[in-house]
Amino acid sequence: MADREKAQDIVNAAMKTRSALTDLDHAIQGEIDEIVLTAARERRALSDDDKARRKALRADQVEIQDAFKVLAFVTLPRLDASADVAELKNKLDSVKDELDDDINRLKNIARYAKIAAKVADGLTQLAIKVTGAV
Amino acid sequence: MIDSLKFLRAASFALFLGALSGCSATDHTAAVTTFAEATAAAETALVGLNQTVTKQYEAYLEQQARTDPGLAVKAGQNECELGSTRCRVVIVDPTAEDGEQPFPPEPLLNNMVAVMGDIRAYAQKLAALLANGSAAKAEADVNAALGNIESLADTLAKADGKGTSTIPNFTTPVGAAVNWLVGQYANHVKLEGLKSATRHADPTIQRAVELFAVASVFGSDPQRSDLTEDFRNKIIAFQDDRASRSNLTAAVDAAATYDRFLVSVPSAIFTKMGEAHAALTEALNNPDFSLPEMFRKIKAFAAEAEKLSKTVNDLATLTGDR
Repeated sequence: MADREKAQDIVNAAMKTRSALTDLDHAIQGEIDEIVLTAARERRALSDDDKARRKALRADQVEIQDAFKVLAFVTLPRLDASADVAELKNKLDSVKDELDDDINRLKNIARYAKIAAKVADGLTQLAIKVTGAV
Repeated sequence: MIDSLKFLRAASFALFLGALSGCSATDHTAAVTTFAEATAAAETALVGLNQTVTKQYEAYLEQQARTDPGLAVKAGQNECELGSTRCRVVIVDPTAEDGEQPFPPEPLLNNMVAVMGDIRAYAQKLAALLANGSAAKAEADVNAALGNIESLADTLAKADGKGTSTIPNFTTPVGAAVNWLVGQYANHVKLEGLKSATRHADPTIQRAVELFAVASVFGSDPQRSDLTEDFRNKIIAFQDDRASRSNLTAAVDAAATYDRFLVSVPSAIFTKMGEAHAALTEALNNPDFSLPEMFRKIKAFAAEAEKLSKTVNDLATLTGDR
């Protein structure tokens, strides 16, 4: 477990990259929107030049979207194999054992109560004898 | 005899503590049961996320295998040979140090799903501890034993020619006392068990919740990317043909699908699970904590679990990822 990565380190690095990708995607979408808004301001359809610029920007966006996916595919197995996940599993197993002990203690109640009833039985028989003797 | 004395001593002590706290384990039954049920739903959501993201990873690897000439697709190292013990396909990036991926890939979140399974099992054990009927069984055993005593006393009285026995007046209070002690002791074991288990589990559950929340963000990112792409393609199709009603409808539908995904906020279920468990722990261990407040948080978690479980399934079906 010593050479396993810490989840926090994995998350910090991945979140930083994710944030950079979403910022870039947003910036490109701003440029695409500006092409559409400019045409609307000029009350005209998109020109071939507009479409060509948008196509180039969309290609960049698709690359970013792919990188966004790859980041997830790389991050998830690292997180899943992190030292933290293994440690959490061990700790939860120990709490579950503790609860099993409690449930077993309750099961023993029935046994102890039976014995307690036998004590009462003994006392009663003693009382019978005493009553009989009086 | 020693066991029974131990039991009576423990039960008397429990009675003393119970009298001090005035708290019954049954006060928490509804909260613990709801928490356990919602945890099972949260597990279903994480399992669904694992299946969906793994399916998308498989589709991504398949595309890479078919289109990237820089990747080799072959049998795994020492596999699929005459002397092999395994045979699997791998995709290899010869330029990367750790560039070998089995195809189809292993599920991406198996260990986290196992941790979530442990949390579900833990929650079910909390509920099982509360629902444990050993005290009732013990009461039945005691009553049966004392019933035998009454019968024995009657037999003896008849043998003595005294008609009816004077014993039942004596045994009934004894039985009641034993049963009462059993009930108090069972309540004590249940309450202390719940307090201790929740106190010990809470830091672990809070850490697990943080991890699951992050995993659900990254786990849903491929779907986020696909839904964004689908919307963008459809809105562009309409922008290029403003007269097309069907293109507008397609863009609006794609936006609605993506919007449903966005407002479902997959990580919320795990955050709410953490809040619910923290409230349960607090309510059990701090007598001043409000029980209605605890129950409100647990119900919020249960509602989120139900909502997300449905959304994850619906979206997976819509996007064909399961």
